[in-house]
Amino acid sequence: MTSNSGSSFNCDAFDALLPDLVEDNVVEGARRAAEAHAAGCARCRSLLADLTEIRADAARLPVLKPSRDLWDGISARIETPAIDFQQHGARQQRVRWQMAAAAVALVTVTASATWMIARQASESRTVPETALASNSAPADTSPFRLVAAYDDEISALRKRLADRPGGIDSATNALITQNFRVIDEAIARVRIALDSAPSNALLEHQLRRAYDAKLNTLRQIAALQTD
Amino acid sequence: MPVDRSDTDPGLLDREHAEVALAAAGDRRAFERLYRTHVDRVYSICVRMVNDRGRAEELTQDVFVRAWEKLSQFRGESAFGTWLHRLAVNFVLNERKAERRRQDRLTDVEDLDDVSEGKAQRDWSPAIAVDLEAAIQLLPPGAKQVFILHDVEGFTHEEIGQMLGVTSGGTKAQLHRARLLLRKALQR
Repeated sequence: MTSNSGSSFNCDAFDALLPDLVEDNVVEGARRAAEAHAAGCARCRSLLADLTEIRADAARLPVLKPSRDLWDGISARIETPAIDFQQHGARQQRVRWQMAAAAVALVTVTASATWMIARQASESRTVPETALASNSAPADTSPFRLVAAYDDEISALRKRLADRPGGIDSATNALITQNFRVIDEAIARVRIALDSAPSNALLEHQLRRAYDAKLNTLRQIAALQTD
Repeated sequence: MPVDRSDTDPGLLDREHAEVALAAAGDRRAFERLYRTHVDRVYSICVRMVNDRGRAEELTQDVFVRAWEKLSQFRGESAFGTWLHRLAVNFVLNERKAERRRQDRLTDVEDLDDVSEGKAQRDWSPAIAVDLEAAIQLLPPGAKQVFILHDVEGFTHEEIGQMLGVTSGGTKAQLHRARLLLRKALQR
């Protein structure tokens, strides 16, 4: 090992500092001492240059691609579990009750949370009837950017259900309409509250929850119909 | 922390979080979009860690199935990619541990804090011309894992220490060892 005669900073000291030098993680005084040593020591200079280059080369290694599309294998493993045919009727009835109960619970929780938040806002507002009754497009403000994605998915699912042979039976259709009215009411309340408190995380959570309820309602129906 | 474009692009982060919310609610199409965005990075981690393309493809599928199962645990505190890459690393590490147990090859398991170069040096031949990718695969397991996670994937020593269950001092020692061995292999 070469020492740097005439200086207290020798190759041993350089080696001890080397890992931190490569990661540029040394205090200024130590860096200056190491650079001064390396300027007169070919061994240490080349060591630092090589390791720094290896680190830089590693960070530039390309992203690799699988030889085939792996999605089919993944998709097959995350499919909705098959529903036992013999239990289909009972299950359908149970799901209907679950959907109705979930919608009622959702609007109850949402209404309570929204009321508390809206109460804290400087201006209290009354929920317009038109907003409660409508399933209108989301406002073009930040918390609603995710709404567009939800709306797309909901529309696609509804279309898929409507396009199926036989469509949706009347009892299920009535339940969808009833549930969506409850959920849309919850969404309208949250959106009005978001106008007063657009960055409120709880309201955004409620909005997601309401949209999730709509999506899950449609998915459960889709799962039943494919049985 | 690994570089993820959505870490620095708020719009992309919002869109991706919306996709995650949809997928967490059971939307497989949204999950497929997330898969298309991230599959190459996940595969890269897997293939570099196991050095077997077929096995890496299986592991990539396993990682996405596991991600699907755990989506509800994603809190949006980081980019989805960061969460997913970490999940991939942990998954591969656990699989490798299980494989070692199955194959009863415990003698190959290294102590991460042991930086002696004895066994590794025997495998390194200055006559072998190798590029960096191939040279990485010749590293001893502990040094290889830390090098891939730190210098290739960009995890910090603290993150790697948590994933591997070792101290950050141990990962720093392994990383330095890996770089020195690579220098020798590449005849620099």
